[in-house]
Parts: sequence; structure tokens; C-alpha cells
Amino acid sequence: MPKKLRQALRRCSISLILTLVFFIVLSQRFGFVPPMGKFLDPFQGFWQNAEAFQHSTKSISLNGLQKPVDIVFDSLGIPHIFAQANEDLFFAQGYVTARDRLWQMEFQTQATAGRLSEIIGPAAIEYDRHQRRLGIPHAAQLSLELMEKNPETKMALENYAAGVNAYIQSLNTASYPLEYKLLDYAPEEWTPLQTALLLKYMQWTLSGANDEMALSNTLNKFGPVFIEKFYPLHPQGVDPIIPPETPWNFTPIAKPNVVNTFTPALVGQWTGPDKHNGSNNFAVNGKKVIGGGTILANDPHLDLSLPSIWYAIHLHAPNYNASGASLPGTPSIVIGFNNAIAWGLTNGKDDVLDWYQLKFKDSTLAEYWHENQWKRTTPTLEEFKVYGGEDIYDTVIYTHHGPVVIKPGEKAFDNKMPPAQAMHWIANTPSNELLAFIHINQAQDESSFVAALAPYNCPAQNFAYADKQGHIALIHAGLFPLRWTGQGRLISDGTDARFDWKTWVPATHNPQVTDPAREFISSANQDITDSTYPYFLAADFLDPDRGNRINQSLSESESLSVADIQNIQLDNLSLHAQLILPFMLQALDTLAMDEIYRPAIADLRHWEYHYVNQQAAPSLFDLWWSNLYVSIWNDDFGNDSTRYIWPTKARTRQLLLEEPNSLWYDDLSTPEKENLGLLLRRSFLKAYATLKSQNGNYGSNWHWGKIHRVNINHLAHIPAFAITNLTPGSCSDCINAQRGTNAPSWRMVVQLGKNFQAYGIYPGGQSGNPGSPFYANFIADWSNGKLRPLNFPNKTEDLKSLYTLHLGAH
Amino acid sequence: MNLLILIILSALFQWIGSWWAMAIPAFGIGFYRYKSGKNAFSMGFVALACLWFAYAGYLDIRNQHLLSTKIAALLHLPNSIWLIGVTIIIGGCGGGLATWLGCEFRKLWDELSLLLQDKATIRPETSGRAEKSETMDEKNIEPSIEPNNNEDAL
Repeated sequence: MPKKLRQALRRCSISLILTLVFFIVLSQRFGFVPPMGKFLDPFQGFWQNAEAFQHSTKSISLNGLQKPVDIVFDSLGIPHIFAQANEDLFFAQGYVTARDRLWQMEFQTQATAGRLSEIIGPAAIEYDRHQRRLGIPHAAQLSLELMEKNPETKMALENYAAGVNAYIQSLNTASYPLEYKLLDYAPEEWTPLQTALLLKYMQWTLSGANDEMALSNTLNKFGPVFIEKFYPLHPQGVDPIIPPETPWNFTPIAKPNVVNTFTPALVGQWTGPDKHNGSNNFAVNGKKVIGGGTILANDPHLDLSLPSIWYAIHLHAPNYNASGASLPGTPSIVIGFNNAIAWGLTNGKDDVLDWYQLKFKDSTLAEYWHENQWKRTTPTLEEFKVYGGEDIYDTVIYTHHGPVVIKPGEKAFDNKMPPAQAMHWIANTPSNELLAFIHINQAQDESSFVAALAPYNCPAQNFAYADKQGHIALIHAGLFPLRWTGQGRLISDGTDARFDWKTWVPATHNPQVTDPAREFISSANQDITDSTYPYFLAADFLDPDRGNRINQSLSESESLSVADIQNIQLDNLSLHAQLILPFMLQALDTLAMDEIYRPAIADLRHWEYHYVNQQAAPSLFDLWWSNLYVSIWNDDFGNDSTRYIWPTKARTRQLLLEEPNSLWYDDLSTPEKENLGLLLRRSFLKAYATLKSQNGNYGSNWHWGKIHRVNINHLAHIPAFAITNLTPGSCSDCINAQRGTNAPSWRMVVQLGKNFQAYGIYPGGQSGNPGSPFYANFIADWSNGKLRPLNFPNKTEDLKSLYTLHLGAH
Repeated sequence: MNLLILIILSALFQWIGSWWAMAIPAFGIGFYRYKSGKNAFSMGFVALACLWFAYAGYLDIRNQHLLSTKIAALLHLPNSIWLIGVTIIIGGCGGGLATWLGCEFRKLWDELSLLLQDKATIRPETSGRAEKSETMDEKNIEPSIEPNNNEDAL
């Protein structure tokens, strides 16, 4: 072969190899590194998601619409859909929600279905297996079958899905949402099952955790007297959601009478539900409202994420006119108002999930002991497709109670689940909450609202209601097992049929109140009723401070405006601090003489219990209390304190005020005998030293605004897409409860009647695209406590629009 | 001229196809227009770098750097200017490599056809002419077979 040819061949081979390697390597995703060439390509890659600040009006023709639909976007990016039939309304809702939130909708449902490893890879296998073990995908399938039996929900689901799919079909690789490009995958076709999955996801978020394991362990360690004293069925100082004088207008059915003698086995490491999260809703009527009518307010608190949990939307059709917050992936409005009524939700915190300690015949888990006989379990095989890995399989074992989430000997996935126990969760029973929401959206008065709630099972919610006729109501809605008193507070005996759920509390017997004498209704996740209510729903509600503060604020005021109501939502006074700080300060009398501590103690004495950013007192009090709380209980619960549930903040406060000489103050880890005064001083000095070492000398560096932070993470935990270090100037005990990543996910205030006005805001933005100016544009106002006026036009011409989408029928 | 043609063609190809579609016109230009690998690579690099810079820059300015700032952080780059830099380098390398490949492939092609020609008709003149043109190209003295050489493109 000639030399020149050889040379040319060599050069050609080198260039060919280099070129191929370059294009192939940069078209591949490596772990979480996106395919760089594809990703950085301005024609198809992420640059295409760098949305322009200007939007223009567009006309689009779509298959599946009966008649043309106009979608008018206002200056907030909120779509107002004007359709001529409900079918088209839900179609357009699906279309426009997918346009703004497609990736979020799909990602959440894939996560719920335990299919994340298809996208993420082996790192998500454990998570996926856990989802399948919970039986959630299976429960979603059962609920879907029920929803499809009802013509109304079937219509809504199918048209919504058709709308989502019309949008997906309009996409190409250049217009895929950003996250698809980052993880290098493509959207699937949307099915009604995904809506069912999304509803399960919310149900699990709001009703999937309770204190059973921790309370069982605590009983094991301290005995029943301790439980009775520190975890009472009806704690002191609670103003229940349903005012105590409310009569029960029904004849109760008899509940079983069982004396629980079962002692559950000690279960392992545990992390329970966060007791500091909380939602509020309230409504006022009568002479409490300036200008007449009613005012309703709601701020449901959730773990925040971006894209936001909620998508604001207005749905308008001949028999439909509702506006408010919707769940991306679900037709209808979840929290909002229509032309006649407004409604808001807080989590009920009822116990609708029980754990059953099982006795298996052998390690095959094929049979378990129940009602004096061996019963067969039902194994189901689950398949997992894994991105960049082999398919794997897992068997989920079902008993008549429910799935065995952690098999004997297995390690719990998230430290929340006990091994060798079956989970009976109410949402494993099929239900049709979607029908309730569609009917609520169209309800015109209280009777139609109450009727709408009939199919509502889970998660149990406190529905606050107000209408333009001047009525207000609070309805505790949900399906509840008929329990003997205390049933399900502890781990149940899975061999004993007396622990099984046999029947339900009739829905008409659920706690509710209409137009109470005090002219307001409210709820803040506290106890629902006093001890006169004939059924046992649950015992471990949140501390009553927020609820008491709301009721105090509403009782004190005679005439309230929308602005006053907004201020109550933003209230940052800590009732806890107000009740306990004066007592705590008494112990510091001698310390206050000390030159070093004098300024700080003086500031604490003058503090008015508001968690404002520009004061150091809240920082010091907050840490002082935390140290005190830990120093009281840590020694008693021992090293593995996470196994147990400590008495709540409010119960500990009660101990301090009522039993200043209690033996619980002695620190068992020291030979000396501590009293409360010593504990108070010690914890104060510790807090002072900590703040000093972290923030320097006492002064503006100690300000609450420099210490308290709220963060909003991206749904897939991509730090660059998160918004962090917000300083809301609030605390976890305040009405405006904010801590960590948990904060008001939506704030709404609506005045009904002749002075109709509506306001709302949520921490995020309408667009799910991190490259859109509408991605996080509400956050600054939300953090500063400003609400935005919500438009509620009757026709397209009534609205000053940013741009319009005309959807035409083919 | 070559540069302009490549910019327009790769824009068209990328509009329709995937990001690697740029390699098709780049290869073509390298094949038909270049005798020097180095020059081919430079021109291809500059063409695609210009194209990606212009389009990404336009999208970025229109978006007021909102997304590029976030993606820069995601990729651990100091700011969006660096991100544009990386974009340019990747686009440029793609264009450069494919143009270079086109050029080298042409050279191999020429050598092969020469060899086949030599085997079919052993005529000293032909072989001598080819020999001469090859030498000239390597020295880069005058345009080779194609009228436009790299110089005027750059």
C-alpha cells in the first residue's frame, strides 16, 4: 500500500473515531449529567425553554373539542377558560394545565406509581418498591374503576386526559419541558389512571402518617398512666373546631365496647409526622363583616415545592363558574369560590390508617393467624423497569387488613414503617373524591354543598364554607371507621378480629356546624370536637395554639374587612411564647443582674411575642425553649429517643405551669438533682452561648430574620431550580406557620355578597418552566404577605388580558 | 463563503433534525471544499460556534438570562457567560470535527481513486499529474480541484 494512502487512511480513521466519539458521547446521559450536546444545542436543547417575556395571542385547532373555547390569561398568568360545555371545559383545563405543568403532573404520578426508576435509574428502586408495597398504585386502579362507573367523573377524566394529550401531541423534542431534556426522556400519553394516582398522592401526603408506632413504644416504656397523663384523648386548653355548645342532630349508632389489653411489640427506629405543620381556614358572617355578606379565608400548609402544588385557574361554562386553586393533573377546582359560595380546606388529622401486628405461620408469609385460624395472604408480583439497569421484581403480600409494607427482617425504607405488620389505610378502599369536587364547584347553597360532600372519603378535611346569602359552616368530611374509644391509637392486634374495621360512622353524623352564635367558624388542625361527640375519630391532633389565636382574634373584632382577615392570616404572634415566657423569665432574676445577659433578658421582657425579623428576642426565646424541651425529656426517653413520641409543646407547657416541682425535671444522666429553675437557667445559658458562637455578640446579628429561613425546593431536588433563604418573619406556632420547607401553600380571602372580592397567592408561579418569567413570580409577594386580587370575569370582554388562546374545534 | 454556506446549511439541518444533524453539511463542506484538515476544522468550528452563539445569545437576551443563570448553576459554571462559552465550544467542536472528517475522507477518497486508476491504466502522465497536485496542495500555494479555497472563506 502506498505511503500516502496509508497516511490518508490513518488520518481519516482518527477523524472518524474522534467525530463519532464526540457525537455519541455528547448524546448520552451519564447519571445525572444530561447529554451535553443535545442539551446545549440552541435548536433543540434547553435554550429553547428560555421563554420570551412577551406572549402573543394564538389560535390553535384541536381534535376532541365540541365547540371553540377561549382561554384568556390575566396579568398573573391565570387562565380564564370560557367553554360552551363541561366536556370542553375539562378538555381545556387539561390542555392549559399541561401547557404550564406537564412535567410536574407526569413526574408526580410516576413517583406515586412507583415508576421513578424508569426515569432516574437504580437510585430510585428503593423508593419505587416502597410505593408499590404501600399498595398505592393498586388503590389508584380501584378508585379509577369507581370513578369510571360514574358518568360525570368519567366524562371529566376522559376530557381532561384528551386535553392533556392534545398538548403532548403538539410537542416536539425542541418544545419538551426542561426536565425531560435534563433527564433525557419523553412524556407518555396521559391516562385517567394518572389523575387517580395524583389523588392518591394527595391522600397519602395528608393521611399517611400517624403516631401509632411511637405511642406504642412509649406505652411499652412508661406504661398506661404516663400515656393517660401526657397524651390525653382530649387535651386541656383546646377550643375545638366545632364549638362546644353545638348540638349533635342525630341518634348515634352503638360503637363496640372493647378493653384493649394488647401490648404491641417494640418497633424500631421511627420518624413521625411533623407536629409543627398546620393549616388554617375560617369564615365570618353577620355584623362581623364590614359591608355585610361573608368573608372566608384559607391557607393550607404543605411541604412546598416548585413547580407549585397548586395551579390557579378559572373554569367557566353555562353550568359551571368556579375559580381558585386546582391540582395539576386533576379536573376541577380544589379550593376556591364560585358565583355563590366559597370554600377552603384544612387537614382533618383523623386516624384513618392502622397498623396490625401479624403472626405468620412461617417465613414464606403464605398464611397468617386471624380469628383462630390460618388465613392465606395474597401475593402480587410487581415489575420494575430500571433506566440503565436490569428489570427487577418484588412480591407484595396482601392480608385482609391491607399490604405488608415491610416484611419480617427487612429494613424500613423511610424509618416510618414497622416490620411484619399490615397497613389498613382508608384510601385503599375505592372512593370518588373527584365527584365531590366537581359538585362543590357547582354548589349554590349549603344544602347542595353538603350533598356534594357525600362521596368524599379521604383525606378527611375540615371544609370551611361561606355563601352570598350570609351563611357560614364548617363540615368535617371524610369516611371514618366506627372505632371503640382509643382504637387504632396504638398498633393493633392483627390476630384479633375485634381490632378490624367493621363499619363506618354514618356520613351525616360527621361533626359539623352552621351559623354558630359566635358568628365565625374556624379550624387549625386541632381537636375536632369536645368529649360530648359520641364517636372516636382520633386523639393525636396538633397543638391548639393556632386555633385559639384565630378564635381569639375573631372574637375580639366586631367589624372585619378583607384587609383585617388577611392580617389574621399573616399573624406572627406566638401564643405559646405569650403563655410560657413570663413564667420562664422568673427563673432568670439573678442572671438578669449580670452585665452580659442584661440587654438580652430586658429585650425578652419587653418582647410582645411577635416573631418579627428585626428583633433578637424571638431567636433567643425559640432556642431557649427548644433547649428546655430537650433537657426535660431527652434523659427520660434515652438514647434512642426517635423511637418514642415526646409530650407535645402544649402539654409540656402545661407541666411547667401546673407542676413546677415535678420529678420529670431531674436529669437522670447527672448525679445531682435538677429542679425546673436550674433547667431553665441552664437551657438559657446554652441558647445564649450557641447564638453567640454562631452570630457573634448580642445585637442585630441575632435578629430572627437572620436565623429563620424558609426554602422551596424543586420537585426533583435540583438545587438550581429552588428558591431558598426566604425570611417570612414567622414561626411554627403562629397562624402564619412557617418552618423549613413547610408553609402556606395557598392563601385565599374571599368576600361574598354585594361587595364581592377575591384575593389569592401561592409560593411559586403559574408556569412550571424554570426558564419562564412566570416560574416564581408570586414568591416575593407571598413571602411579604401580599395577596393578589383574583379576577372573576363573567365573559372574556370583562378581563384585561395579557394574551388569549383560542382553541378551535376541528 | 464556505463559512456562510455552512452556517446556513447547518441551521437548516438542525432545525429539522437532531443536534448531530450539523455533521451532515459540515462533512459535505469539508469533503468538497477543503484540502487541509487544519483549515477544515477551523472553518467548521468557527461556523458552528458562530451559529450556536448567535441563536443561544438571542434566546438568552430575549429571556433576560433567567434560565441561563440557573443552568449555569446546575452545571457548576460561574455564570451564564461561561454557559454560552461551553455552548460555543461544543457546537464549534461538533462543526469542526465533522468538517475535518469530511476533508480527511476526501483525501482518502482521492488516494483510493488514484490507486484504482493507477491499477486500471498504468500511464505515467496521470500518476505524475496527481503527484504534482498533491504536492501543491500540501504546500498550499494555489487552489486545488475546487475553485474556492479555505482562505477566502476565513
